[in-house]
Formats: sequence, C-alpha cells, structure tokens
Amino acid sequence: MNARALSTLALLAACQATPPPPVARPVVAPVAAPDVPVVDARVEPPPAPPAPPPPPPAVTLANASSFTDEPVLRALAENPRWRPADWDSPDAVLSCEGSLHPQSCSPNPCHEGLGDRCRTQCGVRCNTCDGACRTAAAQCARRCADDACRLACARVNGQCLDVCIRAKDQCVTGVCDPQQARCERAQERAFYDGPCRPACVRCGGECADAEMIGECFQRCFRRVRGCTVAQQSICIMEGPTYGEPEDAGAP
Amino acid sequence: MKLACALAVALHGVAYAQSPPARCVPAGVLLRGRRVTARPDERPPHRVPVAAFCMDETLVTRAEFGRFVGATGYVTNAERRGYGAESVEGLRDWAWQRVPHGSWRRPFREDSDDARAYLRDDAPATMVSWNDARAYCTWRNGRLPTEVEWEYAMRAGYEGARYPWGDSPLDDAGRPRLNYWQGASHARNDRLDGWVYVSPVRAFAPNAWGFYDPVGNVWQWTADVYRRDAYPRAAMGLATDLTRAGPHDQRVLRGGSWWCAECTCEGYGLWYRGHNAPDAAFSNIGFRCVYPAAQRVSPRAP
Repeated sequence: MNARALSTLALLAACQATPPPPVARPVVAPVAAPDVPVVDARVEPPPAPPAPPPPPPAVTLANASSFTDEPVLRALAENPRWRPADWDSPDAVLSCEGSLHPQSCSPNPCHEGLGDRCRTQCGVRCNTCDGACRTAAAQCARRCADDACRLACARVNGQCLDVCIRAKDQCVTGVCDPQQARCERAQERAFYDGPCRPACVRCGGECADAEMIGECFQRCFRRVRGCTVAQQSICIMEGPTYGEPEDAGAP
Repeated sequence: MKLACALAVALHGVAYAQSPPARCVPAGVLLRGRRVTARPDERPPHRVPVAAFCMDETLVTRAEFGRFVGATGYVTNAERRGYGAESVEGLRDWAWQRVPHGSWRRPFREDSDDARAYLRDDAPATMVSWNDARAYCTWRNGRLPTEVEWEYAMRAGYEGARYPWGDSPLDDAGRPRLNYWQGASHARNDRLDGWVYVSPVRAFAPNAWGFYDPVGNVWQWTADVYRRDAYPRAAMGLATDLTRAGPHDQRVLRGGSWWCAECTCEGYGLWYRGHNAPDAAFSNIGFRCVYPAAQRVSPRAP
C-alpha cells in the first residue's frame, strides 16, 4: 500500500472516528444579580391580527430567476440567444457572472490567486455550457414551423441553461472552497514549520510595547530575515502561533 | 451536579403561555473563547458581562414568520433577488446551488419527504437574511441577540465545552442530541439524528435553561457585525461598536446547522463563529429574537 493510500485511509479513519466520550464539566450557573427577579415574561402580541401570507411576487422578465420561467421561455422562443439586460453584472441572476454568497462556514479563502483563478475557470465552463445550449436551441428552432415547436425548443434551451448555472454554483462552492481550504492549510504549515516563525517570535517580542507597532515590525523584519511579505502581515495580525496545530499546548 | 442543574433551571427562564414563548435570563458573566483552537477568531478566552434579557425559547418557525408576512406584506431578500441557496444530499462537499424562486415559503427544489420537513409549521424559518430576521424581531417589539447574549443563553451556564452539555454530540445511548450531518461526506446523510435537513424546533431536548436548538438545525443570526478581532478587543477591554456595519461587513452567525458535518464545516457547537452577508439567504440559516427584560418582565403571579 503506497503512502497516498495510507494517508487517505488515515483521513477516512479520522473522519469516521467515534467522537470522544463526554467530558464531565461542572455546570456553572451565571452570577445572577440579587435584585433581578425570577419573572414571567410577557411579550406583547403583535399589533396586527394574523393573516395568511400574501402570495410571492409575480414572475416577470425583470425578476425571473430561472431560464424556465414563462416570461424567459417566451423570450427564448423568440430568440434562442436572448440574454437578460444585466448579463454582465455580478448581481445578475440569469448569468454565469452572478455568484452565490459564500456559505458562512466555508474555509477561509486564499483570496488572491488560487481562489480567483478557480472561480474564473468555473465561469469559463459556464459560458461554454451556455454557448452550447444556445447553439443547439438555435438549430432546434430553425427546424420549427410554428410557435409551439419554438416554445418546446425554448424549454429544452431553458433547462439546459439552468443546468449550466447550477453547475457553476456547485463548482464555485464545492470545488473552489475546498481548494482554498487546502491553500490556507498549506499557508499555515509553511508559516509554522518554516523560517518565519522564529523571526516572528523575535520581532513580536521587540515590538510588543511599541507605540508605532507597524513601523517597529517593519524595521525588525529588515534586520531579522525569514518571512515573506505576506508572512510578515500574518505575523503582525496572527502572532507567532499562527498555524499552530490544534492539539499543541494541550495539557 | 444534579443540584446545580436544578438550581440553574430554577433560577432561569420561566416559559409563558403566549406564542411564541420566550424565556428570561438574569444578568451574569459569560466565559467565552478558548485558548487552543485552529480558528484564531475564537481566541482568547475571556469573560464578558451580560445584562438580563428574554429570548425566544425556539427558533422562529415558519408559521410565525408567515404571520409576520401576512400582517405586514414584507418581502424577503430572497424573494426580491429571485432565489435562495440550497445544498442537498448527494452534492459534493461544500457545494451549494441556487433555488430559483426559493424563499422561506419553499426553500428547496427537491420533492422528497426529507425536504418537505421544511414545510411544517413548526419547522424553523429558513432562507431568511439578517435583514429579514431583524425586520421580524422589530415587528415583535424585539431585536436580534448580540453574539454575547446568544452564547450566554445557549450555554445555559455550561462553560468550556463545545455543547451545552459537554463535548460529545451523542447521548449516553449513542444518539445524536442535535441536528447535524452524519456521514463521511455530503454524498449521504446517515440520518442517525432522524433528519436530513431541518428538524422541527422542538425535535431535540432543550438546554438547561429551556432553550431549544442551542446548537445545530440552522445557523442563527445575531445582531453583531463580524469582526475577526472581536474577542481580543473585548479581552483587552477595548470598546468596539459591533452594531454599525460598513457596506462589506458581515453579521455573525452561531450554532451551526444540519449541513455541518465532522468532515466539512464542523460549525455545529458553541465555539464556531460563522458569518455571512446581511442579505444572504440560505436553507440552513434561521434566527430567534430577544426582548429587553426590564420592559418585559412582570411580577410573578402569586
């Protein structure tokens, strides 16, 4: 068994390991101010009587969010290469340019370089996919003699375009985020195990009480080598424990 | 320890009958943060004072959010944008995708029993942004909890652990005590906790102070702007205004969600400080509100 297979097995084992048994800890009641009574709370009922929620806003070409929404299908039936006016905007919904908010606990990205490159590649693939859908739809429509046929071609086109966008969403989050996480971990390891940490410890000590801390670090890093410019910033922001393994220092 | 637990319960929230119920907690001091962690924003451990307040016993439900929308005609961020974001079983780890016309009304695309759990009246409202959550709490004459208030109430006096009962997500019988993702990847949820996506807001036992879903199920919005250095600043006694947000500031999310798995985000628990844009709408984000104790309390009936 090679090293790669072994490390994969180890990773899987770590992921599937039984969680540690519960550690008994005392329940610590908060310090209650003696003048705070134990009370019933009464939240006033809402001022308006309950009413059924109104229906969601009607779908128009302006607020469509799927290529299979009826107004979009009609536009695609007229022109298989139809695109919304805000196609190039990063806020566009029906576009390869639009992007989801990153999920709240996504790995801390290595913003420059890797993350941006990865996302750009997802966008390129989406645009290629988009072009293929529209070309096929245009060929489909050319064979049509009536509106029903053109609408059927538009529906296939719309479904195809939705798949492109969904694939891009998944690429940006499911491919790029883990890449960024690996990048971040590599960055941490390079700092913690490399020549920067001793320099960081020394400069951190020298500058701990400095009034102009940034300038102090700058002077120190000119004398004490070992950190790249990016690592110098990390040192100032994170301190010399950056990248410390989670179990380091545990009793 | 049993006595301490009983004391903690006796000293704390007393539910009241009106819906949705809230519980009141007295002023106290919260020990938050930890020394050893891979995430710098959880360092250092420090104590912060907390004033008395009342808080919703459960996450805000779909039924309650629906009442709000019915009474006010409010249109959520996801509805205005035209979509929300979902992740479903079978996707690659970390992957999310948009749900066209997805919103708190129907925050999923697939039609399965697992996904339909979202449609229960007692399911947590999801695909609600921070803006939506704040609007709801304001309507209830309340507000979103600060990050400190949230952790204080969810810990219920149990300090220094990942959960408000210890460091294991399982009970003595090996059953999950919260809704999180069990499985080596998001290809499959092993359903040991009985749910794939959201669970009803009282599906799991509450913490010692009576708050349900202190961890897991859905992330919970807090009022605070996310600052990576919030803990060191608080530990040093530096004043930080966490209410004023710049255009790119995000808001703190706490508690983790059904989507969090041991091998991906690990966010379920009381340590992790999530954050997202105030208009972000995901199918694993919800909220609860707080109310000022001083204005809300009334003497206990004799």
